[in-house]
Amino acid sequence: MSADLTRECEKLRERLPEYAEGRLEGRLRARVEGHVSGCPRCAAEVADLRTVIAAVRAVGPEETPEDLIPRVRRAAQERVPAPAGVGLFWARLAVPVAVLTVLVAVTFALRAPRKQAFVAGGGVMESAARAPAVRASKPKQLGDEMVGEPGLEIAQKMEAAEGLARGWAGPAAEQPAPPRAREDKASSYPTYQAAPPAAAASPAAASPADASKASDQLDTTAFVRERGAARSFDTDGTATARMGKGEPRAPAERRLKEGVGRAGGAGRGGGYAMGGMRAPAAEAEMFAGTCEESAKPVEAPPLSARAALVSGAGGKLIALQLAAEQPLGEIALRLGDASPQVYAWHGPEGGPAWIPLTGDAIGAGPAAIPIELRAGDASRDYVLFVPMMARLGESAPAAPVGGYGGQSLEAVLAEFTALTGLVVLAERPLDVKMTGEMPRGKPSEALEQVAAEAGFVAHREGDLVYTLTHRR
Amino acid sequence: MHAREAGSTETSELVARAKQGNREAFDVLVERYTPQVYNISLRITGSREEAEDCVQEAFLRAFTALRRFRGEAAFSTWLYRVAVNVANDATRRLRGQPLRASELAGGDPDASTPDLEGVGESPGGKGDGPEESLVEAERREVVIEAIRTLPEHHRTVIVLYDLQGLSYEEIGRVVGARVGTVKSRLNRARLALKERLEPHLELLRG
Repeated sequence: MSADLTRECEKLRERLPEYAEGRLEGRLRARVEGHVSGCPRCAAEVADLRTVIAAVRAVGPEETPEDLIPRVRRAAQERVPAPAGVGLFWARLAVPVAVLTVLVAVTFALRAPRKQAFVAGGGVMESAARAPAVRASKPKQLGDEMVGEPGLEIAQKMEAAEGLARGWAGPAAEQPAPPRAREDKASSYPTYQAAPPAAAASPAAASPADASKASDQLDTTAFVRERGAARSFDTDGTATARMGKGEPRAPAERRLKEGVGRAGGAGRGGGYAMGGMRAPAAEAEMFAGTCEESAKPVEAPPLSARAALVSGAGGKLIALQLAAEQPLGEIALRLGDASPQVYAWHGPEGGPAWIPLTGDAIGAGPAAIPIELRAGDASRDYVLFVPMMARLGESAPAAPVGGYGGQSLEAVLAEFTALTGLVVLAERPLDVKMTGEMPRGKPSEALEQVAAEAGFVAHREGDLVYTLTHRR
Repeated sequence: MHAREAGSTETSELVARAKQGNREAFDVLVERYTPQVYNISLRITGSREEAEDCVQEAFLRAFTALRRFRGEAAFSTWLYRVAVNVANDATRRLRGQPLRASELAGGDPDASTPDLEGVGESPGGKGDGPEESLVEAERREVVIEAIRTLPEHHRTVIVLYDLQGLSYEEIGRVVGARVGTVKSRLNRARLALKERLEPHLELLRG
């Protein structure tokens, strides 16, 4: 075959399928026809293409499974909010911050059966789930140094997720409920659970006298100031501190510091404390005393949150990584219509702490979960947009379609999430009115463009997870 | 084949009613478009079971975002776009997970016939007699498998053009590309498909 012929083959090769189908017209058709008639190789290619095209078309449609239409109808009826209901949906879920604040600002009067949540790096958060709350006053900073770094490796996330999964459901069922603390001031504090060494959970350490003594020695301010020093705790044991007005929690931390010191790699892949070895007696007594020192307001620390999608035991879940330059006082999460879950912070400066959000916890269907991070009087609000939970973690992004129609960024993100399967953690406020069209193209690029238009910056946290923060 | 928007007026009315929350309109739209969405999903994913999930997901996504549909394009095109996205998502997720032959041919996914022998008995098989049915089923099998292994953008245009009968323009609206791009992509997709089917050309010619 001559060089010229070969070059013409290369030039025309991409047109052969169109030619084979008979869709080429005009001069191009004539050119291809002329070439093919003199080129056995391309003629054979055309013949093969015709065979392939015919074979593909012969595949034809397949009958729809009988029960598919009823199933899709049912799913649509159950899971698609009515248009008028979209607003209601949001109104229902997007609880005004004021309301949330009030809820959070109330101290827990009752201590409902608690669920443990996992904090990467070895800590354990405990939520007073669905407990009515009245917080007396400004909470003080609390937290033990946790070993861990803001950017956990995926293996750690996985491990965290698994730990979370265990801790989320396990302790309440597996362990006797801790005795109620006094039904006075102490019991009106939100609860906080740290993970001290076993020594801290020993009967001796748990005696009221010790607790009282330790409490007397408390210098919370100093403690807070000292926080820059490296401190950590082992995660094999568990004790509980309380927080709230004048929370006398330092004893536990003191014990943790003095008794254990650094726990080294506890947060780096091992030593996640889930369940086990809780010391109810210590919990009850250690913080029964009243701290005379009033809580001092803390400066608003920079707060931030990130989200990660991790695989845990038995399924997918979202883990929120919450971080702050100073430890946060409380973290309130409202999941769906449920009462807020309030967690005490138990992370180091700068985090990280991971909170699991399982599909069960969030519920089915697209959801927007308001999240309030609090530290003293400071707070920052986020909304976590999650896609269909049933397919969480299974669905890769797809490009969104359509226009904004003057919707708020919040509404746009909700739809974006539902359409693409992306998980978006966005910082509030999200009331920017969006106009124009949803960008076309890759969802990731579309999201970045949406964020940019609204004055946000999109941080990619993984294949499916983005964090949106205000451009500052 | 692709259901052109024959009753477009009626469809637009249904869409308008669905946007207002009319559940019966949802039902009719589901009934009307499920066959097309199912076949798109089936041919993109190559799995019946996955396709059924994709259909459900596609309608849920579409209905959730229905109020943003303004009717500039045909509803079907808009819905197909969602369906293609969902099916491609699923395929990415499935990548690396081997499918059984019975699944590929549309047979009972639970049947323990992991080879071609079961294909001829699948519901997807056509033909006059057992032998004919087996050969046709085998052809379908190799074609479907070849389509399934195409890169996503190639697979999408092949499915929409050759299997769903969409025009270049419609495909352009579905995949968000210009007509020229669609043509070029389809040409390359067919060449890629032909390469994959080279070993089976004799069977296909039969």
